[in-house]
Amino acid sequence: MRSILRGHRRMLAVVLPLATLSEGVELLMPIVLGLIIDQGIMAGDLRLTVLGALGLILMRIVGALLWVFTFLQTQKACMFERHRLRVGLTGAVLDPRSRRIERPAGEVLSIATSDADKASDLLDMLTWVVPSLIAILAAAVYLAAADLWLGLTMLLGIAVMVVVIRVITPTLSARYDDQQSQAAEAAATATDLVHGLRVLQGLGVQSRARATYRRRSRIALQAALVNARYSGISSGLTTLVTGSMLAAVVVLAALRTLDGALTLGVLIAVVGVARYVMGMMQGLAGAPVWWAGMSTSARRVRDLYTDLGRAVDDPELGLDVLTTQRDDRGEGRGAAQGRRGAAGGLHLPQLSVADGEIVALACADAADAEAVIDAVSGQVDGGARVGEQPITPADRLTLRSELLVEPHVVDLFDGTLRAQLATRAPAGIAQGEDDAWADQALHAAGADDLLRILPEGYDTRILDRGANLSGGQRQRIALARAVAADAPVLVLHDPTTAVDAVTEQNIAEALAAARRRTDRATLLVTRAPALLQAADRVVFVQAGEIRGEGVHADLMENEEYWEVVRR
Amino acid sequence: MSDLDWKRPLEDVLGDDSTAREQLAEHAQLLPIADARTSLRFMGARLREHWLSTLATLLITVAGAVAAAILPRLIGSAVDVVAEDGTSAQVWTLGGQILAVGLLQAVLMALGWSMISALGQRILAGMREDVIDRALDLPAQTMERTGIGDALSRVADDVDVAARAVNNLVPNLIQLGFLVVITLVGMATLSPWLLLMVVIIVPMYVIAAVMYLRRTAPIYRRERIAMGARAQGLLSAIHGIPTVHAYGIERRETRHVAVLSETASLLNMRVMYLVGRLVVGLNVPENLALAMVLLLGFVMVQVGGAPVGLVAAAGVYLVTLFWPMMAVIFNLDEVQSALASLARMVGVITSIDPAASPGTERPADASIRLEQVSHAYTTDEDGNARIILHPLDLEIAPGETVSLVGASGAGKSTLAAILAGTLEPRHGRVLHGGADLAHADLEAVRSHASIVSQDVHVFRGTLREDLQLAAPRADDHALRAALRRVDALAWVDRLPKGLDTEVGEKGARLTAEQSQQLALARVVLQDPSVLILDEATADEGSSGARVLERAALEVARGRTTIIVAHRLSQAKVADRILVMADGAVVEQGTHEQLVALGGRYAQLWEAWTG
Repeated sequence: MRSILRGHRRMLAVVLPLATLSEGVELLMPIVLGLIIDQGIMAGDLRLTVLGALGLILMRIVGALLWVFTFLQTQKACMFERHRLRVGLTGAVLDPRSRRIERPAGEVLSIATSDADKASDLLDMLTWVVPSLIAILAAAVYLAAADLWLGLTMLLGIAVMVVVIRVITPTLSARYDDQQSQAAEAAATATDLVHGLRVLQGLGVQSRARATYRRRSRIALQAALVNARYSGISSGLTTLVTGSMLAAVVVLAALRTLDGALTLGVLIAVVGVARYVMGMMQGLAGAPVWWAGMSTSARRVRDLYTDLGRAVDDPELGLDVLTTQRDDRGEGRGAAQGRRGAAGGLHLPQLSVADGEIVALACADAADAEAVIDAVSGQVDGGARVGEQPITPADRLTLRSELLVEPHVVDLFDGTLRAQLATRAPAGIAQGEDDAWADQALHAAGADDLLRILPEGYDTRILDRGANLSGGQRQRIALARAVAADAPVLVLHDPTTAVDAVTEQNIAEALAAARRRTDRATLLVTRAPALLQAADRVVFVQAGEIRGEGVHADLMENEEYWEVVRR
Repeated sequence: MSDLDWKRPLEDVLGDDSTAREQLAEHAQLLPIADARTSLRFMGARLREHWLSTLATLLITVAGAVAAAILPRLIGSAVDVVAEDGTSAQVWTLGGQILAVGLLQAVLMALGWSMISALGQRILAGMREDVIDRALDLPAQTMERTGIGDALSRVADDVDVAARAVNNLVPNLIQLGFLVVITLVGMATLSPWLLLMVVIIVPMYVIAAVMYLRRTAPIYRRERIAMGARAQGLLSAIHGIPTVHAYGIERRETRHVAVLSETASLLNMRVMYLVGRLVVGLNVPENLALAMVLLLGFVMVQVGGAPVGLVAAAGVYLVTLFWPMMAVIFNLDEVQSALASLARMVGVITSIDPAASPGTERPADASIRLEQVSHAYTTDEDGNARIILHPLDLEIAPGETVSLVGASGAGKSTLAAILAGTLEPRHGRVLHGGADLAHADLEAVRSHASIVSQDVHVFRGTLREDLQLAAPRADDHALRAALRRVDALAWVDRLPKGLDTEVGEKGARLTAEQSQQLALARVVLQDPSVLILDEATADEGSSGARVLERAALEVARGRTTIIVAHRLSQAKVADRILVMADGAVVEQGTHEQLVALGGRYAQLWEAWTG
């Protein structure tokens, strides 16, 4: 929150007094109105009436302009803050140097959107609450100046209002929270059922799913009905306080005027001011809940930054940096653009892949495979090297131009098929008119059929996470993307688990053909016989130790190896 | 950087992010949206269903507004009493009346608020249940083509927007609306001169409101699309962090979110500029009204001899109106967004028919017969269908196990879905146990045949709730027996709370293999006569895959089973193997027959066994 305020000190310094002024104009209105009725209309002074009316209008115009100015300034500041926090959080979450977090993606999203929005409301709230409070204070002073008793009544009214707000607000917000959480629960159930739609339809249990949702929806409805009752009562209560207060002020002021202590104009003014104040108070009644929600949100934003090991005001996460800088894959280190040359192969304590070689690693235990992947992707320091450069958590970022470790879990981002393949294709190749590079990549991934199936070929939009594709299609596009990157060192982890035997065979041959070049090194971590067979050399690991090395056909003599790769 | 360039053209913001541009393009929505008239008719019908509470709500609300409108008149009378030097007793009486009316107004307001909100919530609950109803029956093909994003936003976001509106906005606006109308009537009855003023002022308000809405509506629509794309961009980047880091595209993804975020901000700011203009614009009729009241008041009091209380009452009336009128117009955009959500919900409810039984035929046994079945998903530019499945006759005996083998795109999954009855073929008849699916009883077919697809999904809630989706009345004994059959009981018992363990998105994370076992356990509980298995091989490697294979065979026992074989070992155990290529069955027979045939299957088998 402090960070939010710091960035907008100057804006607040200008806006706060002006907003107060615009509130003051609102407050002055009933007073001037009373004056005109008394001195102009009652006294039969047409000139004064006309002048007064003109003055009043002028006042209102100035007030409106002031209001618009402060409103726009505040909104700009608010929206800038929202944008800054959101982009900063996104940058922090995606930055590979940030600490890794275990929070669900949905939670991060809600912090970066709704919490960032709410926290920024601080500016909006300040420019409204502060002037309102000053105006109410001024109104109380005015009434007290007109008549001490009136002032006291006013204070009493404000006090009662505060008490009512303090008492009902907590109960009310509890009901409201209850309703919101039940509604969220129902919405989550709905989302969940739609996500599992294929499963439900496959089993033919739609009517049971419907009953499940209906149950949730009814619980949510009950909570909503309770909340409706409570907010009705709360709106009634504030109306009641306002009404009583008004009655008291009218009676008091009327009696005073009869006594001759006040003029008729002041009577009208007093009633007007009292109404104005009560209206303000009703508006301000929502402020404590607002404030509570805001500080919770601000805390959540801060906690996320802390979890990531970053700070809100980290200059590297500033808007100017995040919106202008391009990705750095270590290409800046003197290497020329375009196709990269040999990187000197991939070296691990248990095996080496020389330039021009395709090596397969068959692990009996999934854990061994994971360990190798962690080591080559630099998640841990496992003694892996690209050429002479060690792959460590600290250094891994600079190696990204030489090395690509395609994750096993496929993630595709929204964009055309061409854009998918071009994700990291060497500059200059993917920009031309010629799609030959893409054809080659698709062929190597056994995905030529996609061009036939997809309605607009390379220009077909692939939805986020490949939502409009089957599992096998997704996996093959990811594989083609990796091939198109043409990295000097490529590591693939179980790249064919979602495809059928026939396609797997096609992939094995085409992939090997695409990667078999003198300056390219490829490591396949897999147990698929088709891929093992296509490799130049297979390393067989069991219980963390190498149990065999050679070509697939020879290793098949090994009983344990045969058991592991057997289908 | 401490501020944005708020007037920057959006094209400039989008820059070279063509994906963002594509996402923001106002392409046709995938699911239907109702037009204004349909929505109106629909809401009318729903209100009629609740006609009693609608009527009661209406009466209470009008009464509350009348009470609120009496107050200024009483205040005017108080001014008159003072102006005519009345007695203090008269003042006290008026004070008592103001208090009484205030009390009445408070009670009516409280009651009215609750009733409006409750009525709205009831209607909304019915609607969200209907939306889910239709969504659950959406054909799988629709979902495949469009992704589920649109369906998700209908069942979650739109319901949420509508619910928030019903909570606060709707009762508030309805009460204010009635207050404005009744107050105007009150003013007009004070004096015909004031009626003249009302006639002049009201159209100005209406014009301002209409202009404002017309300008903001498209901006809001675009902002909402931008916000949706922004959320999606962020989510997909977070989900794909391993890929983002491997490919070194973190800056690209951050910039993508930033571009969309800035677009949304700029669009929002455009609305704010319009708000500013609106406020300045509304100042004109307001000031005009003020001047007219004062001048008319002067004439009435000095020339017509009207009591000054009248002027005071008119003044108070007027000032009371400024605020609610502004509030109504200010909130119009939220109303707009709520109405948009309403139209999206009504669109789903009214234009997608609830699944109904096409007939009454029921499957007599577990046999399946296809007669000249063919299918095509789309048509190409020349209008020719892109054939996925060529005409096919097929007979499967009760209890037979058939497996489908072929490359990706050969039509295996399409055939499987047609056999399961989840996909309706373009041509031909599908008969389950003699019952034509085009004339069969819906629920009977649904419980007769099940398909386990590649999509594994673990539902949120406890493990027991997940399993009970397939068999609501199954007790722990039955659930455990089902888990044992698929070899999952051991790990379930190791979970901290066994069957009561929370699973799904918020609960314990299950491995892909465990999720598949759960899917098979659901089949055991559902106990269909026909089972279609279209699962991918387990990710965990061959040991996990073998466990699953065993479980699948165990579940298939005693049922007519069709297996879409990703691995030839799955095909080998089947009674019959159909080899598919380019949408046609090219070979069929047992494993031994096909190997002996020396055709396509034999080649595959040779390559497979290495």
